[in-house]
Amino acid sequence: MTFILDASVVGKYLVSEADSDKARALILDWERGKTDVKAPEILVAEVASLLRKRVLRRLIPPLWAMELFQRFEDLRVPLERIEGLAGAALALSLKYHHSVYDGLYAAMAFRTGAELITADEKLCTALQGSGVLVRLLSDWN
Amino acid sequence: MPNLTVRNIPRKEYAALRKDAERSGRSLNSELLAMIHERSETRRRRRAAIRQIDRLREQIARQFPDQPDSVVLIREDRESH
Repeated sequence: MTFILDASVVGKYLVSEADSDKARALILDWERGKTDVKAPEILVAEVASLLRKRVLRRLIPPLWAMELFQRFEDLRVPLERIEGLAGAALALSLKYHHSVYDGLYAAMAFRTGAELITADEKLCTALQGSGVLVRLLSDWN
Repeated sequence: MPNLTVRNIPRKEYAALRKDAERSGRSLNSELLAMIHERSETRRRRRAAIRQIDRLREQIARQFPDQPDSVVLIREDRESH
């Protein structure tokens, strides 16, 4: 089974918060070959932005944020170019009233037949009836 | 050292492999060895990254326990455009 990783899942994997244990379990399952993961390349920018926000709010020292980001890159999550996804992302975002950024993950899931995994209930709800397979991280076991 | 025979490689994949080998100035055998090496190196780095992320996550949780939810931070970004 292949999962499209939403940035919210990676965010919870990197920093301890609600459902971090589930995000870690998913990453470990991937490392052990029990499941596959991939993501649109925007994931990298979103993770960097997430870490920047925590630094600006003085919730992580800058050096730790840099180290976390380097380690995240070392995970080598397989990434797909967004060039071929943006049109479908726009169409989904207009129809289901979410952002184009959400749409990139959803479009990749739809196109590949993989399941989008996210910690974002709002995104999950927005995609109901869209044909995109989506699972909430809190349901991961 | 062990040897490996690969059967039934699809023609297209074989042609692509040959092209990659030519481009990097390697024999087909060396190209395949480089791929095998890269794969195990990726896995080694991934395992090390997981250990280091675990350590950093615990360090952050100890010193900065009150972290906002990633979902909220990402929503701010995604909906500001």
